[in-house]
Amino acid sequence: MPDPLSLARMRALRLVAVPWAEAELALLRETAEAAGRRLINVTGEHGARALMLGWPADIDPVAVLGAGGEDLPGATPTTCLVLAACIGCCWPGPDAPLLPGIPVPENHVLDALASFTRPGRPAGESLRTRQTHWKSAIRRLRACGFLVPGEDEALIRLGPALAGWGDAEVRHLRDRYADLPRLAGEPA
Amino acid sequence: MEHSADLLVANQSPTGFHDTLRAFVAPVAKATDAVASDPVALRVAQAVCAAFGDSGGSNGMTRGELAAACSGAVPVAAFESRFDLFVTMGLLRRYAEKPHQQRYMISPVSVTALLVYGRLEEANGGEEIMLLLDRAHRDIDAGTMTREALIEQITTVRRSLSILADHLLYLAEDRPWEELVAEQSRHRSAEALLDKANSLVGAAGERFPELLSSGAGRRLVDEALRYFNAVNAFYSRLLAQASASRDFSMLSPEQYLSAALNRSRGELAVPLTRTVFDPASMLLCAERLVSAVEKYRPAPPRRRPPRPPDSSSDRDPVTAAREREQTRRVVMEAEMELHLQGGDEADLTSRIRAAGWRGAARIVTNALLANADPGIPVTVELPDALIVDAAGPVSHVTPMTLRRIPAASIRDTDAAFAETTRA
Repeated sequence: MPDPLSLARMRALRLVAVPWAEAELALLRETAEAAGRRLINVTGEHGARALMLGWPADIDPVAVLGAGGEDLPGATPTTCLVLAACIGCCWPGPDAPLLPGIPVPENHVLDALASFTRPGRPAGESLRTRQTHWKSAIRRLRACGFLVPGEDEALIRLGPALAGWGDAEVRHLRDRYADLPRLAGEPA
Repeated sequence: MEHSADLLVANQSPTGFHDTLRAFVAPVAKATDAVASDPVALRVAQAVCAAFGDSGGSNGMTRGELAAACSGAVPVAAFESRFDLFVTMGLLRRYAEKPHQQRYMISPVSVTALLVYGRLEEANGGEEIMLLLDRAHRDIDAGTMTREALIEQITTVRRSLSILADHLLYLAEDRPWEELVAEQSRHRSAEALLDKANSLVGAAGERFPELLSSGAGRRLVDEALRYFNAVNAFYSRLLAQASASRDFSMLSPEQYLSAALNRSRGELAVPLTRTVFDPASMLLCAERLVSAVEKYRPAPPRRRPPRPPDSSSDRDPVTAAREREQTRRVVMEAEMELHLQGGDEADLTSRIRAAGWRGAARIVTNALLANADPGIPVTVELPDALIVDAAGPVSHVTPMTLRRIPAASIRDTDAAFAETTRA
């Protein structure tokens, strides 16, 4: 029988530990499926495993939630670009799995963005202003789980929300791996 | 709702105020219906008072002038129905006691009564007790308060405080929450009242030291403290209920503003400690990431066009072009000779078919160029036949035969050409 409390706990905490008992895991899975979700295995640093609620592979959440295009909440082009830079810096290579990635200093990502952003930006928008926007986007990405809100805020780590991306999305990103923003000299 | 609205002010219903007035008048009432049940009655009196305040003079006002002045505030019928009663009971009195006197004056006592009624709408005994304490303190300081008068004042205040404390405890312990909400605005000054009681007792002790030994001062402070505790119990129940039902209207906008300005983030978060939120989320897909990357991708570096050839050389470009042409002709003639292998004729078809499209094009083009060049003694024959070999390197080929032109023919041709030119 589905356990709504477990589902609520997963929603609120985003990540829960993988239960030891097989029956408990099966109950979690059943509960998630009853709610139209699925359990996603998330591999953290040092191989730590956790579970997260996600959408079934054949469902497009954008279509389900009725949002589209530029109207997605919070997904501004700047936010997208910052996440692309985080992935570009933290993903060791297109042949490696996207998660958990490698932690990199925040300055590393900011420098990658500074060297990536095309020239010809408005004159009034100084690098400091742009960095303020990028840092704000990093905070938003941390809050939303795309980056890990670690104890050491100076490090960028890829977050569990990326585990919700299906194989097709990761493949799409892998095909464009060389185009992701990163500092010169990093593997591309 | 307007920001300035004070949500803590009790919206007392007309019925509730009527009950208050009945209780207020009860000590001197002759009958149970002594207070008019229609709230318009009080508004007519207030309108009359306002008319005298705004438009009256030392000569008073006529009934017509009064009716006109009150018409904007109350219906004419209401004014007419109350006018005779006001005259009979003394709120309005004739300017002079003459039979046909038509001018009226308002009684100052009634004006005072209207002020009291106004205060009844907003506050109750707590405010009056504060006034009593202030007045007693002022009289002690001025030295006009006798010991007996002070004891009487203190006793009056103590009894009033006792009654109010009992009333609050009764509300807090036994009455529905809605009654507490209606009463809440009337007991905000408990702490100030306790301070004033303490202050009065202190001043009284200095002026009349024997009062302290009699216990009257201590009893007053005890009663003020009891009232203070009763107010706390009253508000505790009020806020407990409001907290349980998450009724944030229990605090006024000013209190919210004060909390926002002066309290820490942790303190502000306390009311929501038992609230569960979904974590922040964002719909973001890889496709949008790639779109953003393409949008912000820096432009590729611009390449400079190659430098033009160095024209500072002394060599004549026409001579150089002739030399290049001569070289090309020699190469082409050698190639034709290679095809002929010393013979006078060679079939190029098999070579074309085996050379692939690119090689075939080169062989055919060079042979046709040699054919067109009078300086190269070869000719090309192309029949109308077409060889189709779908599986071969070149699927469609026209047979081609290369022939050497004898030297005599060349001389004849050159002579004919010279003849034609001379002619």
